[in-house]
Amino acid sequence: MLTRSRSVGAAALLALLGCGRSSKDDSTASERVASEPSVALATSPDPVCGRIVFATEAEHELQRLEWIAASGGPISPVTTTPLDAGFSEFPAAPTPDARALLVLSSQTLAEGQTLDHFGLLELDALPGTPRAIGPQAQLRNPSWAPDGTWLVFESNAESFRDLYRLDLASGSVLRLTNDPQGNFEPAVSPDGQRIAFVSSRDGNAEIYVMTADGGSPTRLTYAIGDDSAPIWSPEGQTIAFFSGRERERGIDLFVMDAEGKHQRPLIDDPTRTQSIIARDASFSPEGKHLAFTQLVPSGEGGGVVIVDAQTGKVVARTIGERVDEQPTWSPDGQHLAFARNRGEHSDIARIRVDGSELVVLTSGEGVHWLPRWVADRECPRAAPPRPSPASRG
Amino acid sequence: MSRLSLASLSLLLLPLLFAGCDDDRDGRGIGDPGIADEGNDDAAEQDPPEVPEGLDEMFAAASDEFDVPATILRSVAQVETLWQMVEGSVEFDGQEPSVGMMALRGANLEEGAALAGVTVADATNEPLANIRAAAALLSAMADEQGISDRSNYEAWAEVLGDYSGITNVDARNAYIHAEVFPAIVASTPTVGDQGGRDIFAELPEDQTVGAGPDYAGSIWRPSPNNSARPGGSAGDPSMVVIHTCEGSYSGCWGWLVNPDSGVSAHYVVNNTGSEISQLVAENRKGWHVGATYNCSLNGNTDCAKNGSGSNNFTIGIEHAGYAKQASWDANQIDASARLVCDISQGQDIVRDQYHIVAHGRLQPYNRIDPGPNWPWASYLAAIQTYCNEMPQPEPEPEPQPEPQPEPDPQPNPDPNAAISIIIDSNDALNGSNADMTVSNAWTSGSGPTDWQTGYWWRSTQAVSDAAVFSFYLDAPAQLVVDAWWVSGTNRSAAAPFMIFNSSQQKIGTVYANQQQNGGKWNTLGIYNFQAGWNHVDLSVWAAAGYVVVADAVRVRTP
Repeated sequence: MLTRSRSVGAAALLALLGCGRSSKDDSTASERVASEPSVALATSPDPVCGRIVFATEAEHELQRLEWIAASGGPISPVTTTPLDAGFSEFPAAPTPDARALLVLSSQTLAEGQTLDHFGLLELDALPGTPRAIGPQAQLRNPSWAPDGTWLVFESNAESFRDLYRLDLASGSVLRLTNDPQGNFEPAVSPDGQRIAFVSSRDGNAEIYVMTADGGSPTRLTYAIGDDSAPIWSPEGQTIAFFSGRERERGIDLFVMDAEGKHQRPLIDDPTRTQSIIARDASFSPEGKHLAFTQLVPSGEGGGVVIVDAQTGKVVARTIGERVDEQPTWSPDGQHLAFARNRGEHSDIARIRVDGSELVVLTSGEGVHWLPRWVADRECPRAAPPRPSPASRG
Repeated sequence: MSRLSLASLSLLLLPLLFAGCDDDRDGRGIGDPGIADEGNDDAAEQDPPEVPEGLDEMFAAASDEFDVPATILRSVAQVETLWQMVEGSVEFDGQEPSVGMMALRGANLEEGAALAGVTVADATNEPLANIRAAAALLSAMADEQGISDRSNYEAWAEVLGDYSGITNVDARNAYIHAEVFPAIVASTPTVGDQGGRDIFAELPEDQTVGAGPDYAGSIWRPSPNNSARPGGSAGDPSMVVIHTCEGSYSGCWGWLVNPDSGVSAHYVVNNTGSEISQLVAENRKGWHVGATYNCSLNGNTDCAKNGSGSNNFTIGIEHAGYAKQASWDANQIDASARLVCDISQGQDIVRDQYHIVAHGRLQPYNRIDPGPNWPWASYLAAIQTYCNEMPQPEPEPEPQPEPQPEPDPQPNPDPNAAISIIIDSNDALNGSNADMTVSNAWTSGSGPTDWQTGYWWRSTQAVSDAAVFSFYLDAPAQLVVDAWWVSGTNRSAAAPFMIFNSSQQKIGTVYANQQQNGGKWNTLGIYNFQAGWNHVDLSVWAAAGYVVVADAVRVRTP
């Protein structure tokens, strides 16, 4: 039987694929529910927990962090940073234990440059003040070690773009790469022993893997067109990445094993009629699904697509007015939040993994984006497959 | 501008390139229909653009209503927008956005809408209302010019120039004679008893226009808005930045060569790919990433290099059109890809998304926003194709010589027997004659080329904190010392190995380059050791900013 909120999602805002739950319920109810998230909570079969941190555009295009309970409710500030501080704050990445959030603060300089720094914000008492860590430079794409003691990121601090490792306890920064053509988009493996990344050192963007201290860089891909944005499956056996190697696919999601073998396009979507641009990919916590944003190059918008991580078959997809993007998984792997662009506004929305139960959490009046779903202590968590324990020395 | 509109700006724009501003040059008539072919040898293969279905009826209706030739309406729409309903963006103070397929802007939009009796909103959003507003405006302008014979296309020249808003004389003439009039010719095989281009009695002769200094397929229209690149790698072009004009081709380059605009780009590509202008030599700095541009959201990820401005090391390409337009002409994309291939070869620029980038929204958490419109995938693929970049053969990965574990060293009672002791970084694997210790400041790591089960590493700094590899000898012996590490570009080029005998005398120091020769035994030398516990220490006291790797040490009879 359809719950009200589920019918909302199906009828008003979401196209379901393969799960047969579409509904013809009236849209009045759906709008009411969408604007009253508490109703959705009351009727939801699986309570959602935790909170969703996101960026909200404030005056002068400055970004500020806010959060909302994943079940809905009022929007609250995350930091106490005043607007006249002159920089934007972005939700870079929650720590693996979800107790803190890495905040990226970005100040606009002349000629299109930014001066960025990281801050670590404890999530127990919000709003709070991020504690500055690491260098000041242009900083991008941070990735946490699984134990939260260090992170890697890319920066132009000393070169076009290279990768660095920041140790939290000592504050020391270790440069991991050194190539004038650039190194990008690091992703720490679930066992903390490897870093997958992109390098153009051989004249073309390819996926590499190196040790967590910068050793044994090994090239995994040899494709015409860019290979980019590698991510690890939770058990560490698979690397997913974007590739432009097959022109008719556009920039699509590919997978390979951690040694670079068995490279193949993942998505098996018979409804696809043209090339796409995929981005924002992430594995669900238990590794069963992958979510990503699928854009249509001709500008017809895009949506969040959820696929089976093994078969690549589409489980569900969202279809909004403009572009649904930036999916983020709930800690139990049963829900996703994403940003729903609509005209001049953007909302934070939430769905179940099967595409049902769409709830728009924010009011439709602001520009809210870059959601990050952060667990709290009450949250059940998916049990990710355990990577093999790291060997010592 | 909100985040949302930025999100749809896949390509971010110079602060507006709406034509404007005065200029100085004498009216060198640029071009005629032949100019495109002169300028770009490769243009011949392209198909002429075709007007979308249903629009000709609208042009005809507006033509009847306001006595403006439908061909003029259709050609203006082609030149301005390729018949797309656009929503221009305000990026530059004092410049109004242009809207609709007729690219009406500012006062023109309001006046045209009023003359046609439509609302500004309709003139902005509805194709027919937009065409009618433009037609009404053009008709009024024709009245002012006293054009009696509206079917005389040449009489419309000044009206078209005024309509464009371009004040640079060269660019205004190019708009009229090299863009709109050729479009009329192309779409009008016969007009009354006039055929083809004969309708333009005074069409300028083919101009001898030189090619740009760096790209043979371009027209050289030098802009004064450039400066010297800094010396050394800081000024070595390493990126190409893709912009959109937010307007027509002539208006775009006309603005960029205007000394008052204070902006430029190295190249401008027209909206059908039939013509490319070079404005700034590639070895000069173009002014295409504006200082006034707010990139708190839109900042180019790679727009800073060693603390210098992005203009120092980039080459900028403008494209006639609008960031928000729904699609891009395939020939324009193709011409641009060909140009970028040429630039990348000449300047040794890596051909990937990190080096060929949108001057677009750049989220600090992320890299580029390819956006919904610019066809990044096929664009980059076309660049690769033009550069004949074949995929490199997938080399069989060099079979990593599986290190043959040496037989477990046994304390050898025979002093004449060969000695081989391996001291592993994993002390659990060491026999009773070997021992390895590190302080807590060392971190464990593992990798495909490590010895056995992993290794220790530590950042270099001005402390010793050595990793100690100890081994026990029953009797004095002369032994070769080998070391094993996992190499990387961030390793110390002078990792200090210090060799001690059992009297704690240092009998040697070897500085090993751990950036290379990882995954194999590297000989450090031959030393005379004593009975008892000798040791090889790896200190972290080396030039800062690197790491040293303590993986395994072997001593063996020579």
